[in-house]
Amino acid sequence: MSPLATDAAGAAALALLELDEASVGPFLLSRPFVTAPLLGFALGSPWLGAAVGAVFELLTLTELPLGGCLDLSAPIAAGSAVFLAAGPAALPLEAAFPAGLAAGWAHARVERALRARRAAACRRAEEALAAGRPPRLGAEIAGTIGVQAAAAFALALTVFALGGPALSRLWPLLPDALRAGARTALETAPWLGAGGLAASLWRRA
Amino acid sequence: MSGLSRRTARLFLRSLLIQAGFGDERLQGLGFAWAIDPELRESYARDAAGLSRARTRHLEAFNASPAVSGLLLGAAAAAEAAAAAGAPEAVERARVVKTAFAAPLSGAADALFWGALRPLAAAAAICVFIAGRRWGWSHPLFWGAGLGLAAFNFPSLGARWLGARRGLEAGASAAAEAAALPLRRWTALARVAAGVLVFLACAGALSLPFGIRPILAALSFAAGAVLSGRSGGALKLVGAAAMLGAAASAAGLAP
Repeated sequence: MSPLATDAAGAAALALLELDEASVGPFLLSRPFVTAPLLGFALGSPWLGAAVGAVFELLTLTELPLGGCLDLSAPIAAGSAVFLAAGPAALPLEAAFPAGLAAGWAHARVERALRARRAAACRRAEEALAAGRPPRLGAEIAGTIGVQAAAAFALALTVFALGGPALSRLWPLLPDALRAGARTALETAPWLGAGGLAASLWRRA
Repeated sequence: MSGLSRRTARLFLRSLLIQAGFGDERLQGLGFAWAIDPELRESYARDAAGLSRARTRHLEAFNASPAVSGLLLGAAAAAEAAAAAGAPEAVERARVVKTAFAAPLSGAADALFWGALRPLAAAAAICVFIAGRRWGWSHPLFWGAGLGLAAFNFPSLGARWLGARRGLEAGASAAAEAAALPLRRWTALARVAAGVLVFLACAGALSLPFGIRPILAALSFAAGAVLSGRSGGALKLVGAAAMLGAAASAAGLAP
C-alpha cells in the first residue's frame, strides 16, 4: 500500500472511531485505550499503540464531555500520535506526542465551528413544519454525522500526509533543548495525568 | 416481539444518535426530535395538526446525559401518547420531564457514567495491558480493551434500555423512580475502585522496562495530584514539564 493510501485508510478509520466521541453512542470506542491500540495493531505496532493510548487516556480522563466542553479531541490526539509514530512518517514518539496534542486541539476547534452551524438544521425542520411539510429529521441527522466524519477525515489526512513528512524533516533540525523538552513532556505526561486523576477521584469519592 | 418491546427497541436504538445533531443553540434538540418522531407519528396518526405541533415542541432546546436519554424519551413519548388520546394536560407533563427532571437526573448520571465508570473502564483496561505485558498473557490488548468497554457499556446501555422501557410504561413517574436510586453510593464505590486501579496501573508500569526513573515518576505523580486541579488540568502541567526539560537541557543539567 502506498504511503498516501495508508494515510487515507488511517484517517478514515480514525474519523469513524471519532464519531463515537459525540455523535454515535457513546460506547467508549473513541477513547484512547481503544483507538490507539487498534490503530497500532493495524500498523504492526500494537504495544506502541497501547502505550500511547495509556498516556492520552490518563491525560484526558478528568475532562468530562459535558455540554459545550471542547478543549481537546482525545481520539484524534491519540490516533494521530500513534499514526505519526507507527505509520509511514515513523516519527520519534516524543515528536508524535506534541503533534498529536496539536491535532486534537485543532479538531476541537473544528468541532466548535460545526456545532455553531447546526442550529440551521432545526430551523429548516421548523420551516418545513410551518409550510405543512414533514421535516426531514433523518436526513438532517445523517447530514450532521456525514459532515462530522468528513471534517475529522480531512483533518487527520492533513496531519498524516502533510504534517507527518514535514515534521520528520524538521525534527532533527530543532535545537537539542526543544527535543529534550518534548522527551520530558512524554516521560512525565502519564504520571502527571495519573496523579491528577487519582486526586480527582479521591476528592469526589 | 410485543408492542412495548418493539417501541423500547426503537427508542433505545434512536437514543444512540441523540447527540448526533448537537449544536450550540438547541443542544440535543434535533436528536431528541428525531428519536421520538416514530412515537409521535403513531400517537397522532389521525391528527395531522397535533402531530405538527408535537414535532415543533420537541425541536426545542434539550440537553441530557446520554445514559438517561432512554428514560426521558420513553417518559415524554408516554406523555405525548396520553395527550394524543385526549388528555391535553399531558403535553405539560412531557415538557416537565424534559426540563425539570432532565437536569438533576443528568447530573447524577454524568457523575456516575463519565466521572466514575469511564475512569474505572480505562484504568481496568490499562491494568490488563500492563499485567499482560508483565506476565506474558495472550492477547492482553484485546482483553484489556474488551474489559474496559464491557465495564462501561453494560451499565450504560442497560440504563438506556431499562429507562426507555420504564419511561414508556410509567411516564413521568419513571423519572421519579430513577431519582430515588442510590446513584451517589454507586458513584462513590466506582470512584474508589477506579482510584485503586489507577494506583495498581502506576505500580505495574514502574515494573515494565520503559526506562523511566522511578523518582521522576513519583515526583510527576505527586505534582499531578497536588497541582492538576489548581492549574486547570494535567495538560498545562505537561507544558510546564516540557519547558522545565528544555531549560534543564539548555543549562546542561540534563542530557
